[in-house]
Amino acid sequence: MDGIKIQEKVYKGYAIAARKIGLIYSQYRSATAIQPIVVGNRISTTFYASFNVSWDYMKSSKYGNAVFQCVADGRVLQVGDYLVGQGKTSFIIGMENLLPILSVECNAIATIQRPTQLTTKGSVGYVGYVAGNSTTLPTNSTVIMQDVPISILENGRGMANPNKLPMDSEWGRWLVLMPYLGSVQIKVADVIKIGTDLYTVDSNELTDFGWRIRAKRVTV
Amino acid sequence: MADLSDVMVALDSLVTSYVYPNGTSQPSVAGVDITILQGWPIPAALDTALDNGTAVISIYPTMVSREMGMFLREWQISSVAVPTLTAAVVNNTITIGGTVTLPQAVMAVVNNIGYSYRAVLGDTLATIATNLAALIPNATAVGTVITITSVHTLRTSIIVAAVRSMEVNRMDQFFWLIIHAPTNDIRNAIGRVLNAQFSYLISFPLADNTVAMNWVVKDDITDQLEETRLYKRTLQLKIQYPITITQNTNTLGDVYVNSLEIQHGPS
Repeated sequence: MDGIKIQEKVYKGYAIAARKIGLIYSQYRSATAIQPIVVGNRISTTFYASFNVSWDYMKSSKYGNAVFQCVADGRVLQVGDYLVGQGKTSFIIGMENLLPILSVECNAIATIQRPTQLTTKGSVGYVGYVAGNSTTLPTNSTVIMQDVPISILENGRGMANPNKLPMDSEWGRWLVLMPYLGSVQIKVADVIKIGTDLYTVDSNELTDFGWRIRAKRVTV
Repeated sequence: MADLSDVMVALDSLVTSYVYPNGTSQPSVAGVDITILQGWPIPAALDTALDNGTAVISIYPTMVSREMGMFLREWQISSVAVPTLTAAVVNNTITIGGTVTLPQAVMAVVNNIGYSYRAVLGDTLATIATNLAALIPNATAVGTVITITSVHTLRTSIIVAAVRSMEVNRMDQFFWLIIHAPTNDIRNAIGRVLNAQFSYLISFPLADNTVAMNWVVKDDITDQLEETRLYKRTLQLKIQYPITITQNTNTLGDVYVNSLEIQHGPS
């Protein structure tokens, strides 16, 4: 028996376990970073999965944790797949050989914009992040990811709001986890928009798990 | 109306003319494309510009400014529209000519008394003549010609829109011209020209025809970001500029009437 066959057996075992203890989810696989959770990307509506933070099912998750082990049929699962159902959305971040399948539970849907500007020669007038409004894109910005479920959790102390209004609160630091979709590269200073809240990317780490991003929330 | 933002626009225009002395269709003084902007460059775009070997010049006011105290508060003419109507006097006739555009008024000063008709939408040269003649005693209009009897003095003027401005404050403010260049050579080529040109420049006009004064007070370079291909040079200018308010008004049609009132008072 070789590693591949053992892996096959492990995933088959996961599949049997998921049937016994799991719940039903819809499985989405998107080739792009634009609206991954749409019917066209849905490859199953009867995908069984069970999530845990310990194999003995004796521990609950806690604040600040987004990573769960996933018991599911790994033979039909890929890193980057979304599982949607039971009131939650998760994406698969790790399927290493013989190791538990890892997933991240989402708590927000984000659109990521890349502010840019004209760089033609000569005068281009005023330049800045001209934010637009809820329906229009900021001037000269491009959407690089749209309506992508992500995990965004508080991550340490923030910085003082430079606006310094009497009722200002600090700009909090956040840890964003999202899958690596459509080969889209997230850069420092990209803008993450969740509803009307804006976050700017301070660091961008891409690993086999997908993107781990440190961002700060910016408010007036 | 002049203020801080007008100074930025004027500096933008000056910088562009200095680094592109022959226009943007010809090479810049540094031989590479240069983007000039007011505000601050967007990081991703600046990165791309530097990567492409091009330069960016950003213009922004510093936080250092002070008001300059005493100044004379008086209205000055900023601009006067060019009349498109004519009112030619020959003996005791006035011929209305030209083209009708609004706002304009035709004034006839007959025997030292002024009569003015303001053209309205739909007026033609003939209706202007008719309406003006209706205001003047002993006047009749045929077509575009008004004939007046019992005239011993007759002259006309066209009243047009004008804008006047008043200086209400004067500021000394420092502005940054920041050169973001991909190499030391490009930075030097741009900085050399900008320092020389702005040092030579004593004053420059603002959009409302007021004048700003100019001094180069600092010229710094920094290589701290050279690992990111960013070679910066910062020129600091001291600009003294007026804060003005403007008012829409009209040109004066008949000074003589006013002067009579000044001499004798209104009846």
